[in-house]
Amino acid sequence: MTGADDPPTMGDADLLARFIGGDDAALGELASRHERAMIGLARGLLGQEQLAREAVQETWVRVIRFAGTYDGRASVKTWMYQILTNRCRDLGRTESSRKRRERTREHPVSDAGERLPTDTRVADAVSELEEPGRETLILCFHRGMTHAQAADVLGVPIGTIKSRVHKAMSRLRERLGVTDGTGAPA
Amino acid sequence: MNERRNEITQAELERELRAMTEAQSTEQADLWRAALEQAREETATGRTRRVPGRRRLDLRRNLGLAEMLTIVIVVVGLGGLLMMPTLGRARSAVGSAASPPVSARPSVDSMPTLDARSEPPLAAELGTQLASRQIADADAGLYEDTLDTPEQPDQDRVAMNEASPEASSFSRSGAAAPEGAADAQSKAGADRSAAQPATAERMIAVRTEISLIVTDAERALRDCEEMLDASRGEFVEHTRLRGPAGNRWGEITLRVAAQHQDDAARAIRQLGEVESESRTAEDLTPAIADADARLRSLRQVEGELSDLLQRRENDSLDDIVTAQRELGRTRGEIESMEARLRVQRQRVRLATVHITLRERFDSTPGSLPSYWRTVESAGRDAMTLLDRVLYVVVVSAPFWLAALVVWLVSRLLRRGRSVE
Repeated sequence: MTGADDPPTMGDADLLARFIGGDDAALGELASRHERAMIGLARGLLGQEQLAREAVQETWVRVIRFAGTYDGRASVKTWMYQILTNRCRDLGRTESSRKRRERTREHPVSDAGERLPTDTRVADAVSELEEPGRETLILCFHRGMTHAQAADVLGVPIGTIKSRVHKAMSRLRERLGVTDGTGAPA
Repeated sequence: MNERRNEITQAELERELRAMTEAQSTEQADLWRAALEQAREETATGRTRRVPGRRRLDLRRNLGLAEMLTIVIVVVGLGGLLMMPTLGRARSAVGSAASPPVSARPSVDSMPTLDARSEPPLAAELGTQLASRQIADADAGLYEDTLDTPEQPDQDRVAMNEASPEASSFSRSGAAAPEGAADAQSKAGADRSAAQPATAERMIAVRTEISLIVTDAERALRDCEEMLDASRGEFVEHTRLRGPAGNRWGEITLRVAAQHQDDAARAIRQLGEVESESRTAEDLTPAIADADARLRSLRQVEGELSDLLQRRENDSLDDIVTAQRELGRTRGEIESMEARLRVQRQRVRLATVHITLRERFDSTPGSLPSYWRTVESAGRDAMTLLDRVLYVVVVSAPFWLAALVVWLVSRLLRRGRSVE
């Protein structure tokens, strides 16, 4: 229950403005809202926890450096995700990192360090998808991400997002032999 | 049973996809703190840590379809611009093969007068100025002839100069000019007097139009051209041939000496069956007389101004400059008037004969143009259209290329800003 004396919840843009004004804690608050999700997305895009953390840290560096240039045309979250996806592209671009990713692909682990019951075949099949379908698919299945937001992040029309997702899902279904639950092809 | 376990359902697939980007740890990584320190360190040292992996520009990832298309269009456009000379040569080849119309070239009627040319600067000495003007007169004569006879070889032009009293007189005055200012002035006066027409006689510009049905339009056009006598200054003003073989039509405009136009018309009628014929005459006597009178008046003014300048050598510099300016303006008008008179007199001296030629169309089935000939003709027309469209696209390339580049740069900048 929210009391009358509770401070109103600040928006991301307000937090960014406060950070620009010299309040580092505002950046901490922004991070508490988005950092974990950003690491998750980066891990999905890069396939490695360590690389994902590197990408997120680079993202924060750029958010800090270019906070003053944020113009409010997109939400702060979209803006940060744009930076993040670009960092992930940069990190995942080199052949060495790609090979490393393929060699030591990590799979999600629980807090206790146990493998989650995730079917590794899905992750492998996703990693074999062509770009930009792979990136779009991962972004669209990221928690809370709508197609419209994904379109803003990637800077493409929403129709393009939908067609990329449709194409990628078709490939996945084909490769994994996805059924509708009754044994018939989905 | 094992196969059943290995199957993945649609719902499972979606769940797995969502799980791929799920946050796995409930603890905050606090990467932002490390980033804050890194940013402060970079600000303090003024150096930026290299971003791993950013080694080459991946156009496919960094650019959208629109940008890629723009780059392709810009490259193609620049290529087109570079190929413009080649296209121009191709156009010329196509044009000459199809016997291009000469109508696009300046005709006698649309020929510019000396009004449009820059007024010659006044020299300090009137004698020198007059000598310069003699040369300018000679140039004007040649210029006019060049426009009149676009297809004539040099010898024809020379012959025409000899045939034309005006042109020849100006050529002579041009040669005499360097001999001295006084000589030039006196010769100029004599030449101008020689160029004066007897305004008492009627000055009629005649135009004859003949429409013929011939068996071979191309050959008839050639015959028409061969009728001309270059020594009389006659020339082809315009020619055109179109249509598929067996159903061609053409037109040709001849400029023939007025006293021989009847002979020419008679010879032309022999080339085929006359479909129609007409003749129009325009009386240029009032216009020429008016221009002639005005010219005489201007020359008088010119002479008076010239005398005035010679007598008042000791006047103030301002007065002399004013008089010289007035003298220059008067001479400009004289040149303009002379050019106009030359054009009008040439219209009188050379009658216009316009001939339209149409091949006889035999209606028997065997003589119909073949299907492939029609296809060939249609294809040629299509290529001509394509050629023109390409020409427009290439010629306007600087404008739309500039617009595309501006749009692309602004888009990239916008994207860069929003991403950073």
